Amino acid sequence: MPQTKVLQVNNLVTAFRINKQEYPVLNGISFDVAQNETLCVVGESGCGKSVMTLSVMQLLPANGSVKSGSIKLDGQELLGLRENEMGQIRGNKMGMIFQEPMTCLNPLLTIGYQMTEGLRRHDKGLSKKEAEAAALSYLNQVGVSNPEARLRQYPFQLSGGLRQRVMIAMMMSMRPRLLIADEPTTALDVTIQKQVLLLLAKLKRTMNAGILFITHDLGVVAEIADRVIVLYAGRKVEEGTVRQIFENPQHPYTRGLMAAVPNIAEDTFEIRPIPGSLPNIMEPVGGCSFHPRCKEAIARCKSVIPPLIETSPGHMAACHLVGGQTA
Amino acid sequence: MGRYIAKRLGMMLVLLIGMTFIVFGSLHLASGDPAQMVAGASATEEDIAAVRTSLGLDQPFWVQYGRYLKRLVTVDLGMSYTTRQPISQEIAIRLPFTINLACAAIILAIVIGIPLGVLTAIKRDTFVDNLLTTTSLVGISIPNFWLGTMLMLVFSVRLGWFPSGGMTEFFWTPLGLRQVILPALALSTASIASFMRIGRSAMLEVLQSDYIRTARAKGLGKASVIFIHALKNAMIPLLTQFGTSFGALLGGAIVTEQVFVINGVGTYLVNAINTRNYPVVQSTVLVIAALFILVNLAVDLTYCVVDPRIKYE
Ligand SMILES: Nc1ncnc2c1ncn2[C@@H]1O[C@H](COP(=O)(O)OP(=O)(O)OP(=O)(O)O)[C@@H](O)[C@H]1O
Ligand SMILES: [Mg+2]
Repeated sequence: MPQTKVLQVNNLVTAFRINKQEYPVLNGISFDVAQNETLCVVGESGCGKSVMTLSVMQLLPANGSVKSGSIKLDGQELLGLRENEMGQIRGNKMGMIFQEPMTCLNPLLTIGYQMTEGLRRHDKGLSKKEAEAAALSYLNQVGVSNPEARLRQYPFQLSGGLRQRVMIAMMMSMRPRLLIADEPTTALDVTIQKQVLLLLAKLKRTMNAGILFITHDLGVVAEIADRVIVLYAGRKVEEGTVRQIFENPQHPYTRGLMAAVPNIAEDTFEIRPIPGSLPNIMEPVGGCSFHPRCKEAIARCKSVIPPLIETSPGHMAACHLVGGQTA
Repeated sequence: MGRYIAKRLGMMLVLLIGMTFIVFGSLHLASGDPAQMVAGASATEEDIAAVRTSLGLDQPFWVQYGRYLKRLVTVDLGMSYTTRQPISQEIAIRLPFTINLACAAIILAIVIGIPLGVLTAIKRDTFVDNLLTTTSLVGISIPNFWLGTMLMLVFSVRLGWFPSGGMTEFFWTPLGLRQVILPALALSTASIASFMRIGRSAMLEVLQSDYIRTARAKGLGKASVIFIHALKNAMIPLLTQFGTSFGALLGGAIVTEQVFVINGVGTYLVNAINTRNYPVVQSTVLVIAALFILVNLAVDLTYCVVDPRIKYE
């Protein structure tokens, strides 16, 4: 089913400047998100998931910058846009929900103010009353009880789950084409997490938006993803539909991630984390960056970066051992 | 909020009583015989003894302190040993000029210091930032009596732009403004620098916070992000600085008044110290301390307005 691509990212390279030296964190990442599609990005802590989302939003910290590549939103190239041009796009065409609901809202401004200012920024003709009405309807949609009262409250009066709903309502009310969610449920307890995920899935359908969803929880992936990309040390090592990734993981790292999850169905609660740790961005590993931790590594893994190989339609992995390439 | 205010008021009262004790006690211990001062250099032993009895100076410490407190409640600050006038009246004439000077100085500190703090935070690590941050060090370390003298020499004596001392009107009249500008400038340099430094660090911290990223993720422009989202949060440490600076300004005003020949409570206090005029010293210190405590109470109450977390406590 050919669908309109909302986001197309090509060969994205992002680097951080540390002690006057540039260290790449993303080494040429490509992916896209279609309308009404949820793309999940998984990978260990530190592999570059957040940096990827912030690169797309162009909200990187001061010492980080996109070095090369292309980021297109609805066909429009975002790299090279000026800050005020990005201001027209952020919120309006792409929204973002962050991991920490407790600190992501301004403690000194009311929920109502924070919900309406974005709306009024992107629609100059909108009156305060109209903006509040819109905010109310979205608070209702995300299941916030007593929304009129909430508008007059401050973030500290709301629980974490409520704040995250407010964040979602706030970003959705601007009707973006793309919603980026960076571990939006990690800080929430399980039942609320479930509600938030259901909500995102519903909103995606009703608004025909694309969702770029970051998580390192494979349970969450199974629940909401259409497609998945697996990130390792700033590279995409595998990509496929949820089925392909879960039923037939190709990359040893993906298989390692799967094994690290307790399998309730098979009654094995034992968790087997992948031994070793991510390479530090300041000491990159030659060849396949996963080879020091890979039990299946061969000589070539140490010297040659494996290209992405399509093993079946839509399913790609970057490993020397896939696609009949065994040495 | 009611509980918060009640707590602040209670604390203020305790502080005030503590202040009276310290002021009264320390002067009681100080050397020099006030009875002799009152009686004059040519007085005989008997004269001095008579004065001592009439002023109650022969009574034990606690009795004297008790009497003192009792009079304070009725705003009776006693008589000046030297002029024989009620001290409350003498202070009432002078205090407005000191407050005038301190207010002018704090206004300068705010309107110059805070914008510079915001500017240096936004322009972090650039030439402008480095220049201003270094200059602020000079501002903090420059003694204000020296700066005051220099300002007076250049702008009053040489250029004749401002009167070279004295204060007869308040800063909102044209003459009052010309009278206050040099002393306020000399007095406020350290506070300008403090406001700038606190403003800078507060802004830097706030600008890194998650809610600023959220504000930017909504597509808000630079102005809204800085002036609505960031500055409001940075106001909290700045408010604290306001209370501290006001205390420093009152202390500095004592010296500045001397330099610019302003007849405020600072001059009054220094003269009283020189003549061992105990009741005047006590009362002036007490009034200055009370003023400082009141301003800090006002600061505490302002937190309520700025920070909803306190308002709804
Ligand atoms: N401001 C920064 N300066 C230098 N390095 C940074 C900065 N921000 C992130 N990094 C580095 O970039 C790499 C990727 O970080 P990122 O935050 O994207 O990880 P992540 O995949 O989101 O991890 P998590 O699951 O813990 O959120 C890490 O090695 C991190 O140390
Ligand atoms: Mg992250």
